Amino acid sequence: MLFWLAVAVLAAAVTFAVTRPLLQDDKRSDETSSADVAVYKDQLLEIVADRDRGVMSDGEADAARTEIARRLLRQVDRAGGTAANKPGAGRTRGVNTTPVFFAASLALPLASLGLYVTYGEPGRPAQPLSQRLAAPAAGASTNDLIAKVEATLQKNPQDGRGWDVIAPVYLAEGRASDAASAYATAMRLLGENASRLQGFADARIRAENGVVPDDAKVALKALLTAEPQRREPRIWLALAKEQDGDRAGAAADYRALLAEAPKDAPWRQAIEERLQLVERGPVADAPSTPAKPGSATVDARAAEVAAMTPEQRDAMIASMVTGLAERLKSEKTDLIGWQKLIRAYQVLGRKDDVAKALTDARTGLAGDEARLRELEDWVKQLGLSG
Amino acid sequence: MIIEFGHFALILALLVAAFQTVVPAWGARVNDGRLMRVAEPAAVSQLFLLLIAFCALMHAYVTSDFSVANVAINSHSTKPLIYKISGVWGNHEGSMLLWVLILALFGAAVAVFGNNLPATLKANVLAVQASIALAFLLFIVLTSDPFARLAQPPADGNGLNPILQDPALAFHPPFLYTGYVGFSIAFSFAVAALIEGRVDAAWARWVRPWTLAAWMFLTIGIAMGSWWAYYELGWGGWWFWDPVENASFMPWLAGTALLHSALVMEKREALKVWTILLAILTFSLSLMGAFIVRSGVLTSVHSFAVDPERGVFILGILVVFTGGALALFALRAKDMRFGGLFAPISREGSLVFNNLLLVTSTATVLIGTLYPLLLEATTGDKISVGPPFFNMTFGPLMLPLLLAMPFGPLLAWKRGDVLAAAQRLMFAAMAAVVVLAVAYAAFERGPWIAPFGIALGAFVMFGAVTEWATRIKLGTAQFDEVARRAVNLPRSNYGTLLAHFGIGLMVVGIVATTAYQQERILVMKPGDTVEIGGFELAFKGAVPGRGPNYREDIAQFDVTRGGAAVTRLEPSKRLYDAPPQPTTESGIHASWRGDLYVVIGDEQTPGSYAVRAYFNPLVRFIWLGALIMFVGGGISLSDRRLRVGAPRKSRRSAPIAAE
Repeated sequence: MLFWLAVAVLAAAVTFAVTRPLLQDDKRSDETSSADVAVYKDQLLEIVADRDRGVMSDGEADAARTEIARRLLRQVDRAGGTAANKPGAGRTRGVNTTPVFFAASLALPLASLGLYVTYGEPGRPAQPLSQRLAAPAAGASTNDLIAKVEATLQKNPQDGRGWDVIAPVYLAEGRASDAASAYATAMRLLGENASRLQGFADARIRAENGVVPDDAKVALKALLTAEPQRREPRIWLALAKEQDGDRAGAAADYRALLAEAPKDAPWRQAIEERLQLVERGPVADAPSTPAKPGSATVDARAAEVAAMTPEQRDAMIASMVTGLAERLKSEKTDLIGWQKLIRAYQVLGRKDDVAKALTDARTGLAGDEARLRELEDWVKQLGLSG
Repeated sequence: MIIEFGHFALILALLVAAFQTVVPAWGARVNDGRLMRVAEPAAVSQLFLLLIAFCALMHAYVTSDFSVANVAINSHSTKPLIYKISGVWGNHEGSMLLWVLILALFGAAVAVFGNNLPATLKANVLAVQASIALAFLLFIVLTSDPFARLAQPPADGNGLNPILQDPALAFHPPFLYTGYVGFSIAFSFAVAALIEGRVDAAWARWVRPWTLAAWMFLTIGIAMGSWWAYYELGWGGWWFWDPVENASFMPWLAGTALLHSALVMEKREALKVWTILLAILTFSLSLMGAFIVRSGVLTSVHSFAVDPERGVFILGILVVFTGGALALFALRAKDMRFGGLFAPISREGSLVFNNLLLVTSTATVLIGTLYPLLLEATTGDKISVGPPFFNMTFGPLMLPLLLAMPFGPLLAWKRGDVLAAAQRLMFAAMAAVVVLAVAYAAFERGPWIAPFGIALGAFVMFGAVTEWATRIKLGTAQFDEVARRAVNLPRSNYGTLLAHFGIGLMVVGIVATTAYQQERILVMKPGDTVEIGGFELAFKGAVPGRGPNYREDIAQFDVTRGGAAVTRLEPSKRLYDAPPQPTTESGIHASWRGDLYVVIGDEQTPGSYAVRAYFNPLVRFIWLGALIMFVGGGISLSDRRLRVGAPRKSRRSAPIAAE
């Protein structure tokens, strides 16, 4: 309300200020030539002043004066001529300005409001960081919460618990390098434990797009020493061997893993595929291309999600999905976004949401033939109806 | 709410600009005083509204309001306050907002201070000024909205590019823009004169000081940019003939020409048509600078094609205003009455010479800047026109200009005597010869031509002083008389003295540092020493440090000269937190002889660093010269007198050459 009041006052004040002259008397005289005459008279005075200061000699001053006097005479002649040709030229009231006044008084505020409503977000409050940090945690967005923890850590960088809290959040947000350094700081301050080691290794691998860097190897080995029954570190270390060119070593590790694996282990198939690739020959650079279904990176993400408690995991997934759905409300033409959202609902088993998202996507993409066709093809592939 | 209020003010400013474009111009056409008078409150309102919008955006930056997309992309909560403020114009949208704000500031100044202008001229000038504002406001609202909001404000912003987090660069754009946009006043006056088909006597009286103000700010703005590049980019150079630099240098060259021709026009009512053309060209070059820098054609012509919206828009603005003004010029110029007459050898004649050379050199820079872009656009070949091209073309053009520079002010108006001027310059020439000898003695190595360049700079400096000495009759009159004359000499003459002296000083600095720079590139371990420019540099090792939003490795060098301790230099390598980018901070020891300049590169083996050390002789003269020029401009500007040039009376009725 206050906002609209302020907008109205500003629009009214400016409109009044700029249109006011239209209602006043036209008290203009023909000053065009008189302005010129004034300049020449000023120049004549200037010459006298310059001569008195000794800047011009008497001879120079005389010459300059003669010249300007000539211009002045010419101007006076011309002004006389104009006045004779157009008697009262200066006082002609060319137009009736009252309609101009009313048109402008209406057009200025209305058009600016119209444009503003189109381009602006009326009444949306400012969200300065300090205010977001002060808001209660319940109901705050992930970003606000991150900002809060970051602000605390800025003030007190030795707070290991803070780093511990924010590291997995960074990882979930896709900020892998930030997550890695947060895990590293937490380990420096609070010491190593299994979840930090694993988080650090995951973050580093993800930051390197699926390549296992040396510091991640060190962390994975430490993790394995602490908890020898874990399998993910062994998978990663085998993959690291493969990436380093040690194909025989990698194959041996994969076989060892398979030998121990329960028959119904969900990761069994992935390991078998890798083993085949390693044994087949030197084309096995698949892990460096991220996010192919069944590739190492996706497995790693799955492993990382698996490391969370079930509550954490659900909360994380729910927040990611909601965030995506929110974003798509404004970015209706984002085909990939829609595909991700529909997939997510499908995986979560939210059938009603799948149907709704599909309808929304179709409306959102309505103007774009190519993308719409792409969406339909994809829907067919997925075996979704309707 | 403040953000949205600022957004509304911006849009209202757009409509006021449209109103101010149409109504006063119509009023001037039908000669209606009321229609014309709306221009004044409209110009002031525009300034007021854009100030609201600008302050709203600045408020968002200072309070780190990341719900504003522009703030989220370009700011960060841990940035020091000064860079939160300078971040407002450290990006495309904000800098365009600053551009229209300064445009409105100039327009409002004409409205408020232009009481002695003829009503139609004032109305037309303000209408043209508003049409420029209208074009840029449309550009901002339609393609570059600084107030766009984010549905989900991120936890923190992306941060400002660290190399821009620097005091000199924080204030470089406002100065530069004041310069660019200041030329819009000359442009508006030129177009208004063309619309009216006549040049009022008040015209030049107005155009000269505004051009001077714009020129001053452009001078200091370019100098700040060059100084920043010198100490921040870590290459030890001060000018790279980079297209971005050229974009600001071309308006400066044309503006310098305009300044001199506007002077002729005010004093002598000559060169009217030429001055109008120059005013149009100067502002067009400013617009082209904006296009080159803002459209993305620089990174690649193809990146322009990828996101053409903004580039095409600015190109459209450029075509409409330049093309429109030039078409109007072609239509109307022939009807303009030519002004005063003068002989080829005269003050006017020397200024025409100055104009021709400056315009030619502008064209040279223009070709060197645009040719690679055009070639890439047509054939796809990427070439780079580097310093060799500019040194081969621009340098020789400057030579006659600098040689003639001391003569100009010594020639009389209307008809001059070049021999008398030469006689007066004998002292300056002799002093320059002495400098030549000293330069040869001081720098035994280096190109043979360099001492001549230094002597030329000295000739310009001494020539400027000679002009002053002649005016106050130094050496020919009694001391009392000299002192009286020195006090009475108009400030505008002191302005000329300082501006020309500054140029000379700059030439000396440029030649010396280009010809005699010393460079050492090596890897140093703690304990190593290197000798350069008469200094010994001892590397003590590097220590880590932490700033408000960066970590750094600070290398420590003890500098001695002939065994005596001089200073300790601490160049560093910084890694900023957000965005995570490295920058180099150079360690500079400034002395009158020159700068000792050290930067460190990557750590090679633990503890040892790649080190680049330079000795740049007399490099400070370059920026000192620019500062003196700025001060000279300010002194001249403070002189509110009308300028009248007294003609030399003809001794006999000699034939007089036309303009």
